[in-house]
Amino acid sequence: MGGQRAHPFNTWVVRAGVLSIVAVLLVSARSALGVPAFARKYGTSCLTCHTVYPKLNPFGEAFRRNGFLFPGVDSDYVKQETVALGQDANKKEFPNSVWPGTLPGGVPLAVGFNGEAVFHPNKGSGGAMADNQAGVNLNDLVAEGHLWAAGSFDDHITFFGELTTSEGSTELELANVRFNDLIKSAHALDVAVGKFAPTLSSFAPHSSYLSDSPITPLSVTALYGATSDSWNVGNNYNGVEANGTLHGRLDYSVGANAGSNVEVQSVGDYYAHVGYKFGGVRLDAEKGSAVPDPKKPWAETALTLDAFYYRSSSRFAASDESIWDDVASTFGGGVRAQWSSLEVDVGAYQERHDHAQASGDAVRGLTGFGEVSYVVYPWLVPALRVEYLKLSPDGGTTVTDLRMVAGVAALIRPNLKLTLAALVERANGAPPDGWGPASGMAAPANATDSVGPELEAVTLGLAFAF
Amino acid sequence: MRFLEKVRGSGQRKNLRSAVLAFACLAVASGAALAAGATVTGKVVATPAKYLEETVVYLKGEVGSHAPATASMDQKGMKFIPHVLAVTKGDTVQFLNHDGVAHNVYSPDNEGYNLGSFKPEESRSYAFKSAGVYTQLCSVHPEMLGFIFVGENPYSAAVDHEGRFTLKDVPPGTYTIAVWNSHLKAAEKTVTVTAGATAEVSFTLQR
Repeated sequence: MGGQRAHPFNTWVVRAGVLSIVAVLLVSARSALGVPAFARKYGTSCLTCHTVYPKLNPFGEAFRRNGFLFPGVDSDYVKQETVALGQDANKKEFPNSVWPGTLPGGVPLAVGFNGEAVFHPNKGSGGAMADNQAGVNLNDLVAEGHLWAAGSFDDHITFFGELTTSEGSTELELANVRFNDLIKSAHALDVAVGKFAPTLSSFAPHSSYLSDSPITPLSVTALYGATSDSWNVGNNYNGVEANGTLHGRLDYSVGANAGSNVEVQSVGDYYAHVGYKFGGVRLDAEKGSAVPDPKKPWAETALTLDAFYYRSSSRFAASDESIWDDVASTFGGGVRAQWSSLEVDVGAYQERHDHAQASGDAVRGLTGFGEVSYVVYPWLVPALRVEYLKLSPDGGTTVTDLRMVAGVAALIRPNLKLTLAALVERANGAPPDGWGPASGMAAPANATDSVGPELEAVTLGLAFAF
Repeated sequence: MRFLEKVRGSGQRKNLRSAVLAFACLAVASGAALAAGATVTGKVVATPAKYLEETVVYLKGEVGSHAPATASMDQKGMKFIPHVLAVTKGDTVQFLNHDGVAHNVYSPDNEGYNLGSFKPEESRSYAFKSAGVYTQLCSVHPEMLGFIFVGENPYSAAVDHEGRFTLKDVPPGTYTIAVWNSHLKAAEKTVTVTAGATAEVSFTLQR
């Protein structure tokens, strides 16, 4: 730890190419978190919870927030056959009887695939350079496969899992159990255990039309040379989280997780979030709370404010195989404003890493993001997304990256979608490993050079799930 | 018909009149006997509908008298048949086992009972001395579920698959009529029945 190591500046250009797939995937929603296993369980359409998946409507957000449970009594809405693993009356026999539960009558699995065709109208752009100046790249037309598991053990305990395979490797992205309604007041206290994304917002971690994550991740240590997994606010980690909704308007989360460590170390990652929603559907959709027009289940007039704090302690490997410890403190927040079919999301967070550089010096990062969308038809949603990254290393040059994605998401069928998006990017300088680890494509020649704005790529995304 | 033919065959009007009069008196007398009991019928609607089959409609309170009877609940295909059985306080239920595997019948409700393990073709009985709902469970097969509704009076009935019910031979009077469901609730109602008539009552069950 703490050893000096060299950072050949030009290596980031190579790494940017290697990471081009990651970068391209920014342009369209990568992970399809629309889960047909839920549709089968409740015998309901994807559109009950989604607009263009994985984007959730207010009811879908409430379902997710409630720990994947319908408002009221969940089993009232279950249409799929279930196998009784005991009866309610067995509870009277406890501890001389196993607490009863249910098993889905069908295997609660779903599969999905996604990817995109990538076009580079500007062959001199960083995006085209990363793709060997290919004008049309179909290599990633189908780039990922997902296997989801989702369901419930009873009216209060649920599970969610996701295996993702891509480029010959398979990753366990999610696997968690949710213990819901642990106190008498419904949804006031739920506990999630397992691997999941920390709750840092009132809204879902994939609820965007044009990005995999509404909160743009920034892997700071990766940008400064880490070769192992780099911590960022959006990653899924093994952990425990308490969360809940109070009076249908305020939601919170408090959690701890293993974070990202190349070696085992004691838990040092903690976070908390609080949000408040004014107007619109209650956060838990209880008490008959619903959108004003049933024909527009996405449309409401509401304002939601969020704030979070995240402290991480990560141990990572550098390119010279030395091991570094980095502690990051992150503050952030966001606002979602909805006016009928128009939605505006904006947010920002600032993080300070005490040992993110090869020199052992600190780096401050600022990330801003915003997305404006309008549901023209239930199946057609144009959107504009802006992301801004700023890195200020102690003793180094401040660099920034500004990206704008304009696109449209469309449902061919409720579980088959296309996205068309164009990415324009401008970078003022770059960190030692380039913007690739932060999903950027612009590639300035040196730390003080500027590039753009330039059109990096146009993507036609394809996703289907069943 | 043979009786009437015999009367017509006599050719005597006086005798015919007497015979017709006697027949009419007989018919009125028997009709009056039938009309002494009224019928209460109706339909129950449940939301969600999947809980409808676990519904019993009943009159509340002590009504009339009832001689203890015996009913039966079978275990076949690893199910309690019928799924819901309505009996009256004092009745005995004979639990049968027409499966090829051993079963057990127990209930944790009210005073609770456990009839032990019984083999195929074996049966056990239990006399219900208290009104209430008894969940029927089998400790060998936890997925098995049945209900025995023990009424305070004989005027209770499980609904059919469409939610219809019929309470027969109800003494004329005004009663509180209620509905039990394993998951849902409905407000009680008042029903007044008169001799020989049929009263209709409907219920809407919900959370």
